[in-house]
Amino acid sequence: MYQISKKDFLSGIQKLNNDYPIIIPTQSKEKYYLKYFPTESWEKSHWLYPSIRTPQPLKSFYYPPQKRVATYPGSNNTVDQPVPRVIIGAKACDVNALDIIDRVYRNGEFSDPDYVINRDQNIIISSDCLDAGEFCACTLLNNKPYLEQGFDLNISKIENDFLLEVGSDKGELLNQKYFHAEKKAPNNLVEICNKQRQSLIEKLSKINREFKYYRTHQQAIERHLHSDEWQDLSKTCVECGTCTQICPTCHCFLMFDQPKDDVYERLKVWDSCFFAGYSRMAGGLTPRLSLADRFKNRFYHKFDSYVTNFGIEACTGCGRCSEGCMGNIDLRKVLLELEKRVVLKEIIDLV
Amino acid sequence: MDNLYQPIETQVLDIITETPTIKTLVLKPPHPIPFRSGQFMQLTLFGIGEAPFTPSSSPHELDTMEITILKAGHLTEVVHDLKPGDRVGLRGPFGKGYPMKKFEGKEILVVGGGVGLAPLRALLYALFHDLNKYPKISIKYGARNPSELSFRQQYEEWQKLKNVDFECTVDRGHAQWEGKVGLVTELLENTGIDLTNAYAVSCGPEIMLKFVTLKLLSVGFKPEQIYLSMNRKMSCGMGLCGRCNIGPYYLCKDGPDMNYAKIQVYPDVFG
Repeated sequence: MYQISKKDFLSGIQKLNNDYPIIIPTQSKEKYYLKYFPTESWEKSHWLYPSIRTPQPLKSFYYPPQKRVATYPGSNNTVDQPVPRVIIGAKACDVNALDIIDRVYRNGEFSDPDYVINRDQNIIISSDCLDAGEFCACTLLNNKPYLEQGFDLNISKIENDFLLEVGSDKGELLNQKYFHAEKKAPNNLVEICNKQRQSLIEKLSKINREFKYYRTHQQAIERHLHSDEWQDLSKTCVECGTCTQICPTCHCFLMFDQPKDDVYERLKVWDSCFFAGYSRMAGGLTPRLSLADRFKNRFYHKFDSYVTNFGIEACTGCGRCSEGCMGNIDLRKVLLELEKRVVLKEIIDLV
Repeated sequence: MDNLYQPIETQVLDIITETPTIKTLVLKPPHPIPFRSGQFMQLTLFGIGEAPFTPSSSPHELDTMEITILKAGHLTEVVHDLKPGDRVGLRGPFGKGYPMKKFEGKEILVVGGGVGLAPLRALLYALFHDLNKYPKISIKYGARNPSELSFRQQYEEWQKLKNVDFECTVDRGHAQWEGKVGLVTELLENTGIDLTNAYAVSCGPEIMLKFVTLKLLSVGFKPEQIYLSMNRKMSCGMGLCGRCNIGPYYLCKDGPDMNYAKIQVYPDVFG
């Protein structure tokens, strides 16, 4: 862990920006945005240290909402190759989400070429959260408001200084080339940092104090595979798909083809399991015809089948789905209700 | 890294009209595409899109690949308008394919419905290729009416093979039809199959799979002995796009032929 002044850190970023396009949070009214700046235009004055995650998930810089993945007939060299980018200020809930998506897009028998390239070449300079929003629930979902791995460099803000942690070989090279941080952070600063982290964890558990789970979400959902409770839980859902679009781990897509000049192009676009057409087949058969079934499938996928297949829940507790929901559906409450109703069922079964 | 979303341009060599609603495309890929029976291909119609189809030709003959397709929607209507010499695209093969090793030494009951006989024909060719490995192969096939029976000219040839029997039925016959009338499940009453040493494999519309499964269970098959070719919408074919799941299984990579014991507990198995 190194100590680095704000001034040195910012000139490091400026230098980085000469070599790479950077993605850095900047303020837009009262909300933060992860905004993509072209190489020439980033200035130190744009800098701010985001205290919580941005409304936009990081995933769009790894698999954009729409991407041309093939052109045909003809060679496959016409597909746009992604360029390496530096992502600055990403939060733990977003970076941990990439680790979750890796299991599908990167580590399986087949992988998504674009995603793998982005994962390999993008540089992550993450930052500790300093605050928690109303819907933030990372600690509830076994995550923390700061990162212990998965980053190249991580910064923790302590008053006017930063602690810089190196998380990978790539990060080590970056530090040597751009930031030149050599001064080992003194113990008192490291201690302040640890205290800051601890008190944020406490704040998070206060925010989430009404949500206590006594069994795994998988166990709760297994008991509801055939139940009607989903109808009740999803009754205010308007099928807008917002939760899936802003979820940092949702990764469903659909490919469609269209004419492009004198050839054809294949586009890969984000899809949502909430849409009726998501799994509708020729002839009209839809395996999940009712909204309640689709709602169930989303929770089943995130908290049950993902655990079965990959040993991890597909949720980092970022709270975006709850924050963005027009029907005021709070993921934490749904999980709590599922568990409560299991208990109720068990009591009824006993009687 | 290979771009697995890129279709391989392929020529349509010939088109065989099987029934008024079913056609077989005979394709000549630029290079042989090895596949296991039960694995599927993503077929691209230029500018229209892709859909998954299991080849109906033998996995042992790779010069050409045949895909047999029912006219059922927008894309398949375009398939039916194709002419020899037209070009299409292929990606694949994807999926697990049938567990051929497991089938060795077993009696195999093959139950097809409508165009569902097409993927099963690739399996039959694979079984026929090593005929002495299977003590019995019993084929039961049902179609809506006599004109909808696919591959009609092959039934006789199949029946002549050692230890192979074939039986078909139609939901509705006509004056000249001398064969059986009734649902395919009626052919499953007395199969003479040795239940202690058998597997049943079925492919067809989802509603037929449901009743075939119920019938097989009622005549004594165990869920572990039943393989079903399940239908779900697919886009990527590689386990990435997320939509073809039954429970935790993704049909594109874990199927599309699923052991019924694995999927029976999930509420949306039969839609």
